[in-house]
Amino acid sequence: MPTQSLYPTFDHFNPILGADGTPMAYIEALRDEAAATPIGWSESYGGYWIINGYDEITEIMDTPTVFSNKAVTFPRYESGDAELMLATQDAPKHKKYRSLVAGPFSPGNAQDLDAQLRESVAKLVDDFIADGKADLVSALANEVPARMTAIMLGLPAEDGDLYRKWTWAMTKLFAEDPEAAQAQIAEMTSYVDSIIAERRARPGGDIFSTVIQAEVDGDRLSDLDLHGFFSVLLLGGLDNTSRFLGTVLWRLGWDHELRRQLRTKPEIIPLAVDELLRYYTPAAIGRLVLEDVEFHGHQFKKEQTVWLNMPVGNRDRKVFEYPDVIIPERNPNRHLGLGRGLHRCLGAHLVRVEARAAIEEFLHRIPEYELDPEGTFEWCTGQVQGMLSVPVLFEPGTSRALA
Amino acid sequence: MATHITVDLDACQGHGKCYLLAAEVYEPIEDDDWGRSRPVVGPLEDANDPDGALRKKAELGARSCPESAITLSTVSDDASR
Repeated sequence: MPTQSLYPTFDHFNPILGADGTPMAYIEALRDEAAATPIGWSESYGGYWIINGYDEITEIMDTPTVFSNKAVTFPRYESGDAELMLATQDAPKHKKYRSLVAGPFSPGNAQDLDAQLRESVAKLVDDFIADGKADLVSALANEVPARMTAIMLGLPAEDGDLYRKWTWAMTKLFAEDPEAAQAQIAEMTSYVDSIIAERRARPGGDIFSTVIQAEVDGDRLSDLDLHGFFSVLLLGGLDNTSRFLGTVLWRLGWDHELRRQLRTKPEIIPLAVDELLRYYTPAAIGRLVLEDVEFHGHQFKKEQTVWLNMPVGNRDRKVFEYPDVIIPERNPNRHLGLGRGLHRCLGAHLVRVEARAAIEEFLHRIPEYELDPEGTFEWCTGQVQGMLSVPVLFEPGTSRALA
Repeated sequence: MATHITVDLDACQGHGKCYLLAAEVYEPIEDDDWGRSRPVVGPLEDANDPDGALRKKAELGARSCPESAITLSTVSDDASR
């Protein structure tokens, strides 16, 4: 009996979840079909091309003249009137704008934030270590990137709570309750308006001040551009990073062997972070077809969306040996978890520093913990995927304040 | 015999695995938007790398590059004159 293709029903908001609560088995099945059929058509959302093969994904990423970033989110994220800066932009605009913020996201700058990140994690752990239980997403995975984003923007760390709310509005709420999402985004818009006013009057050393004062082709950025920057920093900084950290902490909760390796050999954590980015790829990305083109035997039509399914591409047997195994020291690791080319994740260096700091500092304070057998573990579906709740149990410890 | 380290800046995407794993040999280019890499040591030979430790690091960095942007080439003393 011939196997049914997985392509027609593919829907990134509704992947098939396995017994472990994640879509990993489904991703592996998509990869198995992709071996012979790396590209297929899904009927969801009016139809889009699903690109599951590693080589096909990279070829599209390397051809921005035909495949535009206009459709990087699909269905489109709601971000008010402002377009998402960088993410939805093509040449020549994109490169100029990216140059404006490249400095703060440089490897050197990311490394400079290491100490602050570790202190952030340690403080967050202090808040729950005596309880003997916690939801590592709300207590840690959501907090660390939110605080880091606030710090980079030169804003109070506590404002991270607002950013999380708005990120949710942009990425999920807009699909479920457009009115409520609009209200949130209006709130975000007035928040950004007030920062713009403040920073124009009193510039600081933060990213936002840099962007406000910068000139592109002799012109200052418009307020709409500034809003677009804020939105994209929130999406990349909070959504992707938090989902990824949540999934990693969930995995370390039951994979005792991996946890033991990372705790006893912390020097392998940097390589392990990349391997986890490969195995639990947080994001998939869209591209807009700019002209009718034949691509590996398929007729792509202008205005169609192609879906770069990096989670599946990152399991391609042509590229990765034993792709379904987490090999912490896998090296080289040509994974697509952070994209490639012009639009490679701006926060690539930062997420590596963040993940390393979070894993090391957390395992240092709480070396043994278990997933709560009574707990609910929710997987976030959509463009950015990962664990939304990771309730765990551990031997109560002592806050540093009381030690 | 000297080992020359070359980073192809067109291929280099700034993943940074080289300077992460072999900081003795590679560093990010300052002010480069992508965090692309450059070698911080000149050609390696007995004079500056007697125990071959730097060469090992150079090889580790090259091996780790997802873009295969790093090449190590050995040039004999005769050829380099």
